[in-house]
Order: sequence, then C-alpha cells, then structure tokens
Amino acid sequence: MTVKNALSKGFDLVSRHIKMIPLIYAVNFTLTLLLAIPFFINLYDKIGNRVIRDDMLNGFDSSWWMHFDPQHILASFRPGLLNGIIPLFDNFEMVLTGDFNFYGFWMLLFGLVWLVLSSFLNGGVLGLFTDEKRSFSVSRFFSNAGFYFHHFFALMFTALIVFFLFYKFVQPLLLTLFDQFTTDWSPETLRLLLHSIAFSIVLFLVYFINMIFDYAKIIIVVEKKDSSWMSIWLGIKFIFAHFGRAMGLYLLIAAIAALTTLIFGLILSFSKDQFFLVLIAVILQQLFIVVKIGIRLLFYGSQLSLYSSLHAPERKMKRL
Amino acid sequence: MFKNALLLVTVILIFSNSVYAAPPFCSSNNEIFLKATLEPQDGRIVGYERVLYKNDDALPQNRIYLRLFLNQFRNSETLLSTGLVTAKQLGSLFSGPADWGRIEVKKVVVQGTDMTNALQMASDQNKNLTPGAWAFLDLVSPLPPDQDITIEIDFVTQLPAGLFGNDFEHQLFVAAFWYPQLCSAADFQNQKQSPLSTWQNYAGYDVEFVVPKDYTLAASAIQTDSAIVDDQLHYRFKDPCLREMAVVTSPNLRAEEREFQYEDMPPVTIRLIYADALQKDNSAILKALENLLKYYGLWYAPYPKSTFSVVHLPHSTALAPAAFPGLGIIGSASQERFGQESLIPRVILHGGLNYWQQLITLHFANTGWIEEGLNLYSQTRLLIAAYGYLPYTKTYLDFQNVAINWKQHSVPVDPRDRLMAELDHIDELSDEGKITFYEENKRRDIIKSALLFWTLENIVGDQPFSIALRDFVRNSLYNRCALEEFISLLTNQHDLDPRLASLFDEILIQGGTSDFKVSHIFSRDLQEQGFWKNGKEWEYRNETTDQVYNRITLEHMGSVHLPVDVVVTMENGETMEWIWDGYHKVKIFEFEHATAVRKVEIDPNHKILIDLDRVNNSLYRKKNIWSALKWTSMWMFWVQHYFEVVASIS
Repeated sequence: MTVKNALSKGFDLVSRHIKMIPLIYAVNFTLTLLLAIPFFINLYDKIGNRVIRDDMLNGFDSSWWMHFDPQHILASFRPGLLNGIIPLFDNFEMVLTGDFNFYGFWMLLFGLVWLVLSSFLNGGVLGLFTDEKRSFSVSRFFSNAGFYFHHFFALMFTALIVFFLFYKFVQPLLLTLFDQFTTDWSPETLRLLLHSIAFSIVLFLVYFINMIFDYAKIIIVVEKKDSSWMSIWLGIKFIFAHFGRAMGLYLLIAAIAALTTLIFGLILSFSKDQFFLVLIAVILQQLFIVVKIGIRLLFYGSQLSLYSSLHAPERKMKRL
Repeated sequence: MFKNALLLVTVILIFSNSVYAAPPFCSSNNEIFLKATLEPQDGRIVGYERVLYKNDDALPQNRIYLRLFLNQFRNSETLLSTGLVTAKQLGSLFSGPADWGRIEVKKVVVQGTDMTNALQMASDQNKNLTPGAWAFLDLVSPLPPDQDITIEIDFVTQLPAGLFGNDFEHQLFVAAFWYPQLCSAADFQNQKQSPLSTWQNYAGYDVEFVVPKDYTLAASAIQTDSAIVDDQLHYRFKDPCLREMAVVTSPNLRAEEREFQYEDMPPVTIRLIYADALQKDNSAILKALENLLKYYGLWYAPYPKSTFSVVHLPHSTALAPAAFPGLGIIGSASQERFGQESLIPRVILHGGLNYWQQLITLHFANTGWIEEGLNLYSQTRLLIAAYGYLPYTKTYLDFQNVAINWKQHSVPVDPRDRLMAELDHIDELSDEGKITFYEENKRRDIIKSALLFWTLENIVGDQPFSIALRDFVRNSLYNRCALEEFISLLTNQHDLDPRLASLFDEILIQGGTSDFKVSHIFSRDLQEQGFWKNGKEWEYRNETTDQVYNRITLEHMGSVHLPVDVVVTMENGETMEWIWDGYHKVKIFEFEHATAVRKVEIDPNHKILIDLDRVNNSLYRKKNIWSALKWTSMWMFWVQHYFEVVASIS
C-alpha cells in the first residue's frame, strides 16, 4: 500500500466514524470549561469594575498588564492570546522545548488529566476503526475505550517517561552540540541556521517517538497483544521494516496539520475589537479545534490502514 | 501618536531659535598624561601616569589619595564584588583567582622625589572600603590652595576576566578605572559614604595607548592620531575635559563612522565600534544615535565634543555598561516581563549614558537620579517622540542567547509602562533573600527618579519643564550639579506647588510611595420620608424623588502627598471634575444629582507615574462581564489547542 492509499483510507475511516469527533470535542470542551470558570471569575474580579475593562474590550492595555500579578490559573494570561497564530505557536514551542510547565502548575496538571482521558478515548477510536463491519455507536465506543484502557494507560505512562528522558537529556545534548559550532561572535544568520537545524532534529525525533507509540497502540488493537511493552517493540520493528512509508505517511499528515493550523491562524489574526468579530473568532476557533481532532484521528486511521495492509501479508507469509 | 507629534513640534518650536554657542571650556583642575601598553596575552596594561595635581580646596593639603578601583575586584570577598552583583552572578563572572583584577602601583614620584615607600593603604573603621582599593601619600610639605604638584606613577593593571565584558578568549579587552586616580581628602571621605560609586572628576587628558597593530580601539576621549610603530598601533587621545579614559579594544571589532549635522548644532562624528557578527544592526544603531544627538541637542544641550563613540558587543559581554563614563556600550538584551528589550531602547539608553556623562557629573551618594534617572527619563521621552510605542516582543526557542524574537504589533507598549512595572517590585527581595546595593540603587534612584521627572513634567507641563531642564543642563555643563539647583530653577521659574519641590526628597531619600484608589461608590434614590399636612390631616409619605444620593470613597495609601484630579462620570454622561489635595488617607465625597454615578477616575490623564497601582485609580459602580468573557474565550481556545497538542504526544 502506498502512502497516498493509506492516507485515502484514513480519510475514509474518519469520515465513516465522524460522530466520534463531536464526542471527543465535547470531552475537550468540558475539561477546558472546568479551567475556564475559575479563570473567568478571577479575571472578572480584577477588571470587571475597573476602567481598564474598556481598553481590554477594545484591545489590550499594556499598563494594566505591567501591574498585573497573575496567580494560579491566570499565570497563563498574556497579550498574545488575542492573536491568531501566536497562541498556537506557543503550544508548538512547548513541543520543541518540552517545557510543559511553562504556564504553571494548573496547566501541567490538567494536561496530565487530558493525557489520561485521551488514552481512554484513543482505545475507543482505534477499537472502532479496526471493526470495519460495524458503524459508530456511543456504547461500542466507550466499550472499546474501557477494554483497551489499561494497555493504553501503560503506553501513555511509558511515553511520558520516554519524553521526560528525551527532554531532560537528549534535547539539551542536541542543542548544546549544535551550539558548540558557534559563539556570540559568529554571524547571527549562521547561529540561527544551526539553531533551526537543531530544533528540526528535535521535532523529527518527537515525531519518531510519537509514531512508535501510535503503532504500539495499533498493534495492541489489531494483534490483540497482552503486553504493552512488546507492542512498543513490535512497533519499532514495523517502522524500521517500512521506514520510508511509515515516516512519509506521518510527515505528510503532520504537514497537513501544520498547513491547517497556519491557515486557521492567519484567518484568526483579524482584529477582535468588536463584539461580532469576537463571536466570529470564537466560532472559527471551535471549528479549528474540531478539525484538529479530526486530524488526530486521521493519524490513527491512516497509520492503521498502512499497518494492516503491510503487516497482514507478512503474517500470511509466516503462516505459510 | 498625535500627542507625541504635538510634543515634538512644540519642543522643536521652543528650541528652534536657540543659538548653539560653543560649549564652555572645562574648568578641570588636573592634567593627566597616560602612556599605556596592552599586553593581550596576559590581559594586563603596563602604564605610566603623570598628573599635574591642583589643590582646589580652600585649605592646604597634607595628604593626597589614590583610588585603585580595580582592587575592589581582587578577590570574591571584596566589598564591590559582593555588593555590586549577587553571589550567583559573581560565580558566572569569576572562575578563580586568575580572573580577578587589580592595580599594582610600582613606583610613585612626587615633584621628582621617589616616594614609593611612603605609599600607604587606606582603611576605615566602618569597613566601608575594600582594603587595597585606596592608598594615600603624606606630602613632605603641605600643598597650598590653588597650587599644583607633579606626581608620576608606574603601574601594572590586571584586567578582570568576565567583569566589564572582558573576554580574553575572543581577545576582547575592556578597560575602565584601570589607572590610579588622584583625589583629595574630601573625595576620599565622600567615597567612604558611597563606596560603590564610580564617580570621577573631569580632567584634561593626554593619552597614548598602544595595542597590537591589528586591534581596533574605541575610547571615551577624543582621538587625535594613530600610527603603527614597531609593529604596534599607537593611538593618541587629547581631551580637555574628560571624566574617565575608558577603552574597548579587540582584533575582532570593526569601526563605522557617520557624520551628524543638524541645523546649527556643532558637527559630531558618530563612531560605532562593532563585532562583525552584529554588522546588520549598524544602520539602525547609527540612526538611533543620530536621533539621540538631534533630540537631546534640541531638548537639553548640543553634544559638545567632536566624536561620539559607542560600542556594540555580543550578548555575553558588557555586564555593567554604566561603569564606562563617556563610552556607550550596547550589550546584552534582557528578557523582561513585557517581552524582549529591543535593540533601539538599549542603544538610546547606553548612548544616553555616554551623552550625559560627557556633559555633567555628580558627586557620590543619592545622586543616581541625575545620570541614571535623567537618562532613563530622556530615553523614554526620545523613544516616544521618535519611535512611538514599540511592539511587545516575545522570545521563542531561546537557547544560549540564540532565539526568535517575534514582534507583536497588536500590542504596543508605552516605554513608561516598563518603568512603572518596576515600581511594583521596589521592595522585592533578590534570589539570595536580600536587595543588593545595585538592585536597590537601580529601583530607588534610577526608576523612581525617572518616573518622578515624568510626573513633574506632566504636572508642570511639557514646555515649562523642558525649558527648566534645558537651562539646568546648560548651566551645569562640565560641572558637578545638584538636585537642589534643578528644583530651585523649576520653582523660581514657575508657580510650583511647594509640595512638589519636596517630592525628590520624599520619594528618593525617604523612600516614599504613592498609591491612589477609588475604593467605593454608593448611589441610591433619595426618599422623601415624613408627615405632610394635607388640608387638616397629617399624612405619612415615603416617596422616591428625582434626585440620587451619591457617595464616593477615595483612598491614598502612600506616604507622598500630591494634588490629584478626580473625574466623576454620571449615568447620564455628565462629568464632574474635582481636585483632591491628596492630603488625607481617606476622602469621602457626598452629593445629590439627577442620576447615579457611573464611574470615578483618579488621575484620568495618568499624570502621576509614581503611582504604585494605576488600575485601582478607577471604579465603575456596576460590574460588566464582557471584557473578561472575551479574554476567557480566547484563552479557552488556547487551552483546547494545548490539550490537543498534549494528546498528540500521548
């Protein structure tokens, strides 16, 4: 199977199970709302009856921000939130730096909660994707989610350890290695170039680790494996056996995700100084989150298709 | 922007008829000849100094003092080492004894007599001075007032690695306070009160500085000549009025010059010395320096010398630019609460230090207001006039000083807000649990005094304040100037509230603060209650009238008393303006009106920049959710995406 066919099959799978997207979106929205309520109350308390609210409604007041002493959940408040691309790039930066604690304890904690929740939801997604004969139903989605949860939780936990070690040791080592080629006296263009190369390698490695865990999940569901760690090993073996196609597919979908993010980011960059413009922005933002969830499912669907098509003949051969 | 343009036009109109007379000649007492050779392999300077020293005191002098400033960095226990920078910073500067700096006096000859053995180290009972940082000589016969003597000194200076930006690995040598400086007993006594101060009197300098032939050199003095002799480059400097012979030299530096000429101001050659890697910034830096000379020339005084030297060094260098009188060093950008400090403000800040230190000087403690405070005030003023508000710049993927700086133009930042933000942290402790001298000095003398200048300008008005400041600067050229002179100039020329004259004292010396707050608004419909005679009968009435009872409570939580404007906006759009004398801690206004109060604002035009919290200066009677809701929805989107990013690596 070619990368193109896998992608096409992935689109097909996502479209056939499109009802999963609002379900996952609802969980995402609800969890965010849990954080947003104290955020709103705190912010309302600070600016609700001050004249500063007029400036903040029409734009941003730097003098207020200068004196603003953010505590707890408000620590992640910043002027860039109003921009289209900047909040998205802020998150992308975290993937490169691994500094998921940058926006404070509460964001890190809820990020971990979301990790557990998404491990649960991923079981439902992959369970339904592999069961091609039957269509989507909420009960079967949650049944699959529950069935695979212990495996997916173990994989998530292992991924956390791997990423912790990666960001703690490998990423700084890589950056330091590239940094050694330059000093403060070197031309800035050269320093920026090497800096960019170093972070590109970091990104590639993050993708690679992700891909391993994606295939580990697929193997658990497709092969009905009992050992999560064994599935990681099988995932690595599969990737190296079909490196070009596996990596090509992953990078292609990552490019689709990046392009989508860029397009939405640019669209959302318009000024939000009037009520109806804010309303339009909110609708577009939520639409983008839906699309983003869809792309995450596309990763699973396409990789599942690739794995099934490449591994099934291998299994047949082994049996023969 | 319109206001800024108006300010600019006004100021130009005020000064357009000024005649830029030649600057008065420096009335320096001492004439200094220096011959020094840099030995790059050891990071040291071997020098000879000859001083024609004049007693400018009213009494005969029995003793003269030598300030050996770099001995403040002889080891990590010295007063300056522990006071100027925190222990954490110090650790990154010095890796061991080999990195410390010192001045060794080899020989002293007074009026032809060798007095090396008579040289003694000064100390004081309060241990305010680092041993070795001051030496003294008892003269054979007292030096009468207005008489002079010739003193010759052979010395060797070891430059401290790291400190001042010295980077021996890249052959960058930064020499400041590198030669023995002669002082009177009065200077010594003053220095004891403020041991970390880097003051220096003006003097006439004649300097020959020798470096390897491939080196580029920048200095605070006016260069007159250069020639290669015996494979070495001999620079010659002659400056009739200089505070300090500061030098930056390296084979890795280049020079670019631009001629500055504006109206009938004296022409100035702007000399930018830069590291190759930073060449791309040259155009912006030179433009900023042109702006500086133009605006400061219009506002205060034309730059009096023919050369204006500025050095642009890589990020890891230039720790203490303020320590280089007359030589602007643009060094590291700091990451601030409100994003990355961009290049232009840094150029104007450090170029401004160069400007001020070439023009006026000061003496000892409690005077950071004039050089640093005035510099910071004029920097923000110039930024607003020439550049407007600069965009908030966020730094991404920062690693080892390589980063992507993203300018967010939708968030323009008033440079004064950066200063006001510092006020919030005025009493915060450092990581080590104490406020270092440097931090305390910076916050108290520099930030507060800059904001005080702004506050006074806002209260007095642009034009009168600018004229007073211009007269003060022009009267003080090449002289020690005092705060009292400026206040006196301001109060004599203008009908100034006498309380404003004491502001500097209350805020800078006594550490006073100011914080106004609208704490409560209360409005209710007026009731008409009582018994009314209706014919022969009395009847009880409890009726609502068409008047509203309003009560406003204002607070002043600081210790500095300032008159302040109060604007009350009613629900029908009508506004009332009062002036509150700010004397009492709490002030309650009660009045009846056709409608209820909608909002109250203290200091609505943001005149008082020393207010610790400007946000609580206003209050609406009723809360409104829309602003918080808008920002919460934007924040929610970011969090939702954050979750999706996290999920993608699960």
